[in-house]
Amino acid sequence: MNISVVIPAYNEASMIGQVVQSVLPMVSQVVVIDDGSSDTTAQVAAQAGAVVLRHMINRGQGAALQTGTRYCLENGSDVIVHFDADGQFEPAEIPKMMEPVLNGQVDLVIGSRFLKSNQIPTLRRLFLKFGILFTWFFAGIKLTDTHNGFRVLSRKAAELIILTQDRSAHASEIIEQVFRHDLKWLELPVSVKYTAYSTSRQDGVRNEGNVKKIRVAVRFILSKLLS
Amino acid sequence: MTVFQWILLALIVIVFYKIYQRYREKVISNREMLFWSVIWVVAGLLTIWPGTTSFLASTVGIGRGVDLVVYLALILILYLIFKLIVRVEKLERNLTEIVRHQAVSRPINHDTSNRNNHSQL
Repeated sequence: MNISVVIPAYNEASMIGQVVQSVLPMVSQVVVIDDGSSDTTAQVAAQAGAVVLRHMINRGQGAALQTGTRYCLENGSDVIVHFDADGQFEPAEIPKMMEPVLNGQVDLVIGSRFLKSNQIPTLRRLFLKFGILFTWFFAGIKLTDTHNGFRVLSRKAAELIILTQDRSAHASEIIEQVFRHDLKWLELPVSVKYTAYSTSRQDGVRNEGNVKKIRVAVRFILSKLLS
Repeated sequence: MTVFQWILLALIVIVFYKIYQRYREKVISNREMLFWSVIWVVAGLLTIWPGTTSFLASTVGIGRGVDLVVYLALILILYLIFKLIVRVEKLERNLTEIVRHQAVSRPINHDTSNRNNHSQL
């Protein structure tokens, strides 16, 4: 059973080494996608033992995930785990997250910050709630956490869910495709550590404020209307 | 004709010249040149005979000629923006595809040894 962890990373040289090293022992391989970083993310990740794919220019977290997925599918992965590069997630929770997929119960496991009592900054929590309503309206699925980068996909799910949204809207797109392909899914609680480092970044980019989320939502709607 | 109309006409002539220039430089295609020329010919005609808009407006049932021009211009602009957005989205997708292809074909630390005998579980 080949288990791969896909970690999209943009300018995460300070954290990526740790993250790769803590995840690697539990899985077959770690694939880091360096999304056009201007720092040494790629080198650090490679030294830590990850397979590194480099995007020549920055394309966004969704694009990076899809690149990683394609590589993993082409190289015989059976299970693909999505994991963040900034150290917010707990590597020790990977086996628990993988279980329902490994025993064939579901095709997709999505982490949820809200199923567990996590300390989430108030403004962030508010915007996440909006995201949940938004996703429910457009994708038809009610989740407790729509923007969670900790996921586990079966090979079948990875083959069927093809991300066309390069930036943050990919999170909603994944859910929409789960619904469209009628895949079995499950939400499991995950821990999340908000440190000063990680809150200053979002999608690997310094957080420009939540106006960005609104712009992303508008673009997502537009692309749905126009496709 | 008023001074204003003459100025407008002069500007339209300049625009025509620019269109012609771009066409010569092969920056725009035949079809594009024709499209924009038609628009500016209409603009020129309306400048020389502004009464036309009032006539057309009353035919269609809209108050003033100016209103009609604005409505039509708005529809045209929205349509062009729509086409632009679609083009840009397509460009972005193509760009990502190229970057992705390049990334996947040059992996660092790619493990070519047996891939399936590798699990801690």
